[in-house]
Amino acid sequence: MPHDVVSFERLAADAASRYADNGWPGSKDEAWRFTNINAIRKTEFSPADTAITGTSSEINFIHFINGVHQPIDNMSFNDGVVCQKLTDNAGLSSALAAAIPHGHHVADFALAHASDGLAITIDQVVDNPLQMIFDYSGDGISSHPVVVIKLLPGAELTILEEHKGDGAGLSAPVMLFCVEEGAKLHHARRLIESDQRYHLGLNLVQQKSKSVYSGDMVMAGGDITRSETQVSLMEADAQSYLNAVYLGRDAQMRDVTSRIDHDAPDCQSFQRIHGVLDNQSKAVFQGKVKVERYAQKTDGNQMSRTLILSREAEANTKPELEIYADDVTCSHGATIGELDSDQLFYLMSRGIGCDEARQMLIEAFLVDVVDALDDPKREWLIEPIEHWIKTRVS
Amino acid sequence: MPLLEIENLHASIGDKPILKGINLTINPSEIHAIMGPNGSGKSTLSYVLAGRDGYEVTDGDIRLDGVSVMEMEADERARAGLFLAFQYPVELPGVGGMSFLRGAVNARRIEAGLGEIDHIAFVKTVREAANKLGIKDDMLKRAVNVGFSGGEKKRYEILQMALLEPKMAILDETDSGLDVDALRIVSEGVNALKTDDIGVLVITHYQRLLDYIIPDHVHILADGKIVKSGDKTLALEVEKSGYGEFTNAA
Repeated sequence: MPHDVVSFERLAADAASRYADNGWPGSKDEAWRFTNINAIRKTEFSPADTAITGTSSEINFIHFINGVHQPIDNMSFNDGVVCQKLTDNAGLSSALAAAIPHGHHVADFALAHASDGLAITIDQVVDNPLQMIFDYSGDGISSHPVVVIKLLPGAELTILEEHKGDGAGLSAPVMLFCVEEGAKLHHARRLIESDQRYHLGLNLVQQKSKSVYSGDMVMAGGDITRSETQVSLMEADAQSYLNAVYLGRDAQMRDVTSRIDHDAPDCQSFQRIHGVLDNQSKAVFQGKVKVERYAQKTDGNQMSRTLILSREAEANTKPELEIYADDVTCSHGATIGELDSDQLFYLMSRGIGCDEARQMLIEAFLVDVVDALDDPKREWLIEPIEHWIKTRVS
Repeated sequence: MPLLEIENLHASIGDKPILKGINLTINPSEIHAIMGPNGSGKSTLSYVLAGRDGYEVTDGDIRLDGVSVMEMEADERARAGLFLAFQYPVELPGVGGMSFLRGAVNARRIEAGLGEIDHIAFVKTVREAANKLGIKDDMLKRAVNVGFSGGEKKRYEILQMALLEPKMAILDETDSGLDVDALRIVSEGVNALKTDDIGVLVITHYQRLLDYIIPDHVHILADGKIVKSGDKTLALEVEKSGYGEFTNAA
């Protein structure tokens, strides 16, 4: 689809003017109804002026510090991976400009403050995973990494994306993944920032025919952490898998928001979200699936399960199905419950102590979502889950 | 010393009394059977013995090896040597069979002051024990009880019992859902475990399991009390004339 040519500078300027007009979402904004971001709204964040000079000997290794990426001269990549500054790639900055959802507060905030981004093009099957490490630090600093990754037809890539660090700051990453015909993208993410941070992320996925996008996320850190994924299934026979695990404790807020647009026939989307909430933590899963009139034979599934470990924890689920086609299979389900007392008793009756039995059941519930993955992705995603369970307060 | 002593045991669920004064003593190497109609309190008795939450013991005592278990949680009772083979074994999706078995065995070993069991030796032990019970290797790799048939679940209970080497085993309706072949295999498994010291309490509705696991003593439970005790011929009597006589008596 041809876009108007929009430079990154122009994209940022447009976003800045929209942000100046619209600001942060209000509590009446439906997409933010369950997610209180007063703490973020009240803080005057300023972008970091970090200049990164570090080098890395690792291949396919991308490092952002407070939203600013390391100089691309210092990076080395496998054949088939081309990495540029977004300011130097008008094609992908234009694609991003066209993909930003209308009136999206977080995207506008992030793009208004981002100094640059990365544009990565993949044109073949890449064996080594692309590691994207986002490090954050400092109080009152907002970080806005922007990455656009395009997989050309037939390309395949695995991404290991990690957000970590401390300081009472805000991370607002904006990413666009264009998955062309027959291409396959495995996108594993772990959000493991320290407990005082805020994270409001936006992932945009555009899929052409016969493409596959597999997103697996573990959300284990941050005070307020929201991850929003919007998938456009633009051509026939595309498949999208969104799996997420979220973990909340103390007074943390977890928000997994998704929107899947079935804009073409014979596409499939599968979402599995498992969360565990302890103490007074809160979570929302809101998932919208929209099936256009001509998107016949759509298969759209969504399942959200939440395990509540404390009477004060709160889980909200908000499935939304908007279906205009008549020949579709769409389903959604949501469960919210405590640990199963039969299972707990069964383990204890074998001599396993109560705490250990609970940990085994929590781990089983969470690992279930990522269990089918191959290593090293599986291990890499399970690690923060196990760490969280071991350090759980109650 | 008696192995298991149940003394004047009263237990309720909510306000409803279920067990109304049970007295039973099991000595090492004895097999006892408790038979009773539906609703007589059989399952409640097995759960109360194993220490399940949700039952209030209003009077009486349970002693294992002379020590009261009333203040012990289910896991402590298990580590003290009590084993319950479940009527309905519970599925544990995501909990791998081997790590479950190892966790259970290690819990007992650590309590006994032995170290954790050697991985490789353990796998071998499990395979051998499973083999005797007709449990395939593939079943050991799956999540606990997930996708097992009714008969497979019961065999898996007996496998756990073999590995945990309890002092006192309670078999709750182990025959339900089993065909004759499975019943024979499970019973052989139980009989193979019968050493000089182990005590076995078989809880059952029907007499047929007792053709395979021959009890030394049979007790009839009706309305929360043991209303009659005898030898194995009592089971045959029940098989012939039903529970009517006892429920009326209770």
